[in-house]
Amino acid sequence: MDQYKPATAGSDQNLFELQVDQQSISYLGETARWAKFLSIVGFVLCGIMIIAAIFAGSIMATFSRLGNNDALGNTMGYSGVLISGIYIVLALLYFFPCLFLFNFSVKMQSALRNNDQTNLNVSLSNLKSCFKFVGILTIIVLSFYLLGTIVVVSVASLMK
Amino acid sequence: MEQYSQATGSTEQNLFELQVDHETTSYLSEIAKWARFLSIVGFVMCGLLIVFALFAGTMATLNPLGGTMGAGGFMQIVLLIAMVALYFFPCLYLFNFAKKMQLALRNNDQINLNDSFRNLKSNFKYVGILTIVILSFYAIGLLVVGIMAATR
Repeated sequence: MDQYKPATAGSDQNLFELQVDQQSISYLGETARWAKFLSIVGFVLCGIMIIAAIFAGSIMATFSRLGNNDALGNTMGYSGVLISGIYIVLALLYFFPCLFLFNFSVKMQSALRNNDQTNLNVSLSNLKSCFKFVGILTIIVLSFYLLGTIVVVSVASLMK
Repeated sequence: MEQYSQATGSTEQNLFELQVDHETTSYLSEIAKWARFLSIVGFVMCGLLIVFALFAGTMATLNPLGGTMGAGGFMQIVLLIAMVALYFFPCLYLFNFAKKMQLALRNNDQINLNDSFRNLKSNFKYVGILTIVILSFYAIGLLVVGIMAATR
């Protein structure tokens, strides 16, 4: 049977020596449980965002009808569309990591239950996708911040 | 050598049959890379928040309006520091996960692998519990608003 062996073999064999042992299984099981909870909360929040996006238009339209000023009404109408757009984009951006996380937890639980190597790999591939997505999103957001800072600084220096 | 075997053994042996094979190793190393990046970004954000908190403090004390502004500045500092404290721990767990995972994969170290998974678990647990706490605050807020609206 497979036993835990210290890393004394050659580098080629090394790759096959790490095991998902009892301890790892308990940690991975708990990780999967929390990941499932987080992803379900994420799905619910996505749903709420979509609902908010759908209603943002009508709420803003109500405001614009209440106001007598045409210019104000128009900007309110546009801002309703803008808010809907932003919420839908946010919901979409939030949906994919949640989906990856949910797939990770489902596959991990089935891998641990049935001892299925294929599911373990699929599960970790999903976790990888989740981390990659969030990482790339972070890079994009940070570069937007950087761009914003540069624009603000250059505008401020032009105003002087 | 150890081979991938189907789950046909007894339950006692089953627990030891999942392997970290080539494919798993590549996924885990990529997860570790991204996790390390995210945790370092998190640390930098924590540092920036602390700097902002200090600035908010000095701004508040320098403000000639004093009084309420000072109290507002103090509240701001406390809130920012609380946010930093809350944000720091998942980053630390994630960083430990990434570091130990990279070590485990490089040196084929089962102990580090287990430590790494323990940190990943802690990270998810922390974020999960934080989510529960925040959601319950929202629920309490909704209840309070509802009661206030009803008693009007």
